[in-house]
This record gives sequence, structure tokens and C-alpha cells, in this order.
Amino acid sequence: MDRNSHYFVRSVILLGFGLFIIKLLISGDIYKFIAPRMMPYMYFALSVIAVLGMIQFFRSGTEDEQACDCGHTHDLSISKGRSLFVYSLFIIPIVSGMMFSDHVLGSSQAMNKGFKYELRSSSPSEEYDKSEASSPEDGVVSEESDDLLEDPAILSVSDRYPELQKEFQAATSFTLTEDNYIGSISLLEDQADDYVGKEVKMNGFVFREDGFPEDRMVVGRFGISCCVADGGIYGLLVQGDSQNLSEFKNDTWVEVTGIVKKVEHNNWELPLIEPTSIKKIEIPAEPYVYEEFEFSG
Amino acid sequence: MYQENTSNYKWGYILLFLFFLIFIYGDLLPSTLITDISPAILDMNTIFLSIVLEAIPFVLLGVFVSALIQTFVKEETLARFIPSQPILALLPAVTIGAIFPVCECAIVPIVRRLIQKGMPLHVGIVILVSAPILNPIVFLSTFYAFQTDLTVAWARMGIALVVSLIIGGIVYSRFGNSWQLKEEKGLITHGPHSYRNRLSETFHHASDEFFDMGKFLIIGALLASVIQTFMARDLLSDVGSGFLAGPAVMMGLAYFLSLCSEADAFVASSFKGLFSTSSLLAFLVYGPMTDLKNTILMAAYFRKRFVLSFIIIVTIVVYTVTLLFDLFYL
Repeated sequence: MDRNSHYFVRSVILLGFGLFIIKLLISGDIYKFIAPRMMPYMYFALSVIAVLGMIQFFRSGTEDEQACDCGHTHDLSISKGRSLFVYSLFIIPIVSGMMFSDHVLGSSQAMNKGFKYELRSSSPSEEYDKSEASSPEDGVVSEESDDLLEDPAILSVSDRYPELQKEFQAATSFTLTEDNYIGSISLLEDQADDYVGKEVKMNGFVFREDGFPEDRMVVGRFGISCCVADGGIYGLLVQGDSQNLSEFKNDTWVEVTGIVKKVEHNNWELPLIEPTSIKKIEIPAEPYVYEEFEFSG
Repeated sequence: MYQENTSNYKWGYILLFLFFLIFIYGDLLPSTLITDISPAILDMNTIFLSIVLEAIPFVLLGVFVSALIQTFVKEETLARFIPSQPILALLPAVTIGAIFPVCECAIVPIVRRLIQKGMPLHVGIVILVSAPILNPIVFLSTFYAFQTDLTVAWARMGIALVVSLIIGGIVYSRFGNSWQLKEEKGLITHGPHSYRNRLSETFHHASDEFFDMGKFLIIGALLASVIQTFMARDLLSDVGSGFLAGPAVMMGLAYFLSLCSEADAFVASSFKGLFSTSSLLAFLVYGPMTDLKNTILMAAYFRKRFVLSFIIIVTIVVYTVTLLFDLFYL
């Protein structure tokens, strides 16, 4: 291939990338790959790709072999086989992206990544000591003051979601939405005691870890901070024999309503939902939830 | 001449037609075609595409800064800002690293260009390892990811600073100022260009480099997605979470996951409880400095031997420093 046709193929590939991004933007599938807060970067990329593509296109018609006199090596591959390989590397993501962009990660990835315990500030053993040492009424207060004394730099989950916490503590029943999903589950995992007995309504897909009893499953969603590759599972245990849980297979999307309880799971004390009703739902248009970066200290 | 061109252009047109075809009809193909073979392939494809999509803006940014340096920065200007005393030269390097808000995909072409323009090797390497960590965006994301334990964010910055300086020192003592780029030294000699030419030249450089680098990015993303899809995390905690094994396991993970330094804090925080703080710090410091995707990018520009020694040096220094930190401060 000569220089000019290289430029032409490159401009077509850049156009392909542009089309891919535009297609994702139109269909909304872009949020199945990256978080909304990364969108400005995508628009930047799209416009740069458009400009580069145009430049490559016009360059392909005008430049003769010796036009670049700045003496450095542009790696325009010599052999036909090699350039075929290199260009197919670029073509693969464009083609597979435009064909299979609506896939959503499910239970097999959730099992790979495991349950997300991240927002718990203490190790399991400490947690147990505390909950056994203090009575439920004053437990909350003493725990908070302990933390403050131990390390002033520690910021608890309730500091992170102050309004959400107020709202939930006041309510007798609450619903998890896209916007409060991560916050609510963090709060529930942090101080399950505060919410025991309340009614919760949430949706998510079903998955089970190895060794779960038959009447136990997790309902959760992937939480994304930048792109799907860094996603983690946010979910709650659902357990109870009032509903036939085994009829909800892994990867089914469900809406669960139930009462918050506490349970011991792998030496962690975790919140659990005892379901009063479960129903199958369609997979939502935005199946993932996203990390909030706003911080109202 | 004209005849030959059109025959080669043919492939471009076929490709163009293919893209438009898939753009319009791509969704009609049922994805069950793939799921019947293996459902994991679709997971892999999604993770692969998300890494590529996330990295592209930053690669473009890096490529552009690199092209601007190539076209507009003169060798003499660069030399004026870098002290001739090699150890002293590390300080402006770390400062540059801290000011440049670029992540690890973007920094490789920039550093390569700076070295090409006459920046001493060890100074370039210090920028390469410090810029992806020592920057405000990464500090903020670490801060948010570890809200319950703010020491992590500070320790990450502190360890990264110390580690980059040590790496710079070792690279200097081992390699001095030898030429470690693949290209011959002094190839770039710019004749007088008009301003307009320079601008279009910048764009030409940028798009050439996008294709040079893009292929390595795609290979790296592909490998990383395969590992992410098929490796269960439980495996890691089985391998070891002890004082010595923990940081080693997490560094291995950081290497193979090849996450963006802006996002890795969130992944690290999901390992809290499974691994010690020093292991998490090893993950957070090591990953941005070197990982699978970056190794492939670096191998495109630097000599293989140098890339290998670089990885060994970074690994040893990060491991030792995090263990020392664990002993004395945690």
C-alpha cells in the first residue's frame, strides 16, 4: 500500500470510530460502557476524531511520497499482511461495538467480582465486639464518638449521605432508585441496626454465590465509577421462605419489597431483606448505577 | 500511478460501506448467536470496549500534547528548565508530574517526545511514574473512594512521591543518560516551517501517533478484558493476604487489570476487608506506574531491555516502600 491509501483507510477507520460513538450516543448505550460524568471526554474524543478523520481524508489526496520533510519515521507498515493486522485491530472494536453494544453484565461477572463490602469502616471482629458490648439503644452514639476519638480523619458513611440518612431514619418505608441506590445500600450496610424493621423496595438482578442455601439470593446492580471495567456489585441479601425464591433464576431482574433484618454472612453482619413480594421486571434502560462524586461535607 | 491508487482505495471504500451497513443494521443481528457459544464472550467484549472507550479521549489528549511538543518546543528551551545536576533535576520532574493532570495512557507518548527532545532519561521516567498518581483528579477520586479512611489518599500521594524519586535515582545510576528509545537519536531536525504549516503538521503528527499507539492500547485492553472476565477474585484472597503476600498479590492484580488511575481507587476500595491497607496502597501506587497496557505502550517506544529493567525497578521499589510504610506508620 502506498502512503495515500494508508491515509484513506485511516480516515475511514476514524470515521468508523466516530459512527460507533454517535450510535452509542443515539441509542443511549454509551452508559452501558462509561459513567455519565465521563461524557465531556467522549464529546471531546468525538470532535477530535472528526477533525483528525477529515485531515487524514484530505491528506490522502494531496500528499506525495516525500511530502513530510521533517525526517522522522512515520510507522506506515511496509508489508500488506502487517498493515492488514494492524488495521483489523482497529476494526474489531468498531464492528463488535456496533453489533453488541446493548449487552449488560450479569451474575457471572457479579460472582467474579464478589460482594462489595467497601464502605464498612471496621474489620469483622471489631464490628462484633462493638455490637456485643453495647446495647442497641446507645450503640449508635457510642460507636460514632469512638470513631471520632480514634481517628479524626475518618469520615463515616452517614457524613457522606447526611440528607439521605435523615430521610431514611424518619421514614417507615423507602424505595431505592437509580440516584440513591449506592448511598442507600452503603447506609444499610454501615448501620443496619437503624433500619431493621423498615420496609424497603428495590430492584436489581438476581445472583447467588456458591454455597448459598436455597432460600437465599442477592439482588443488586453494578455500580460504575468511570467505566464498566471498574464496576462493583451493590446489592442486598434476600432471604425468606414466604416466597419461592428458586423460581427466580440468576440474571432475572426483579423488584423486591420486604422488611430489613440482620444476618451473619461470612462473619460479616449484613442487612437482609425478608421479602413480602417479588415480581419479575423488564431490564431497566439504565441497568447500572453510578458513583456520586458530589460531596456535601 | 492513478490506476494503482484506485485499486488500493478499493479496500477503503469496502470498509466504509461495511461501517455504514453495521451502523444501520448492526443491532438486528441477535446476540444469542454469541451467547450460544459462550456467554462470557459478550462480557469480555463489553469490558474490552469500555476500556477502549474510556482510554481513547485520554490517548488523544496525550497524542496532542505530544504533537504540540514535537512541533513547538525547542530542544534548547527544554534544556534551560532542567538543572544539569542530575539529582537536582528530579525535583522539577516531580513538579511537572504533579502539575500535568494526565493519566497513564496519555503520559507515555508525552514522555517519549520529551526524551526525544533531549530530556535526560531519568527525568522523563520520573514524570512517567509520577504524573498518573500525583495529580489533583486522582487525589480526589481516591479521597471519595476511601471516605471512611482518608489516610489512604494522603499515603498514596506520599508513597508515590517517594517511590518516583527513588526510581529516578536508580534509573540514573543504572542507565545514566544513555539512549533508550527505539528510534535513532537526533532524527528530528525541523526546517523552518510557517505557522500554518506547523499547525497542520501538529494534526498530522497527532493522527499518525494515534494509530501508532492505538494498536497497542487495543491489544492491552483486549488482554486486560480477558483476565477480568475469567479470573475470579476469591482466587486472590486464597493466594494470600498476609504481610508479605498481600502487597505482592495486589500489585499483580494492578498490573493485569490495567485500570485508569482515576478509577482504580474504587476498585481498590472493594478489596477493603480482604486485604490490608498496605496491600491496597501497593495496588494504588503500582498500577498507575506500570501495568500490562502501559508495558505494551512503552515497548512500542523504548528498547525491550530497558522496559524490562524499568518494570523490575518499579516492582522492587514499590514493594519495599509499601512494606516499610506498613512497618513504621500503620
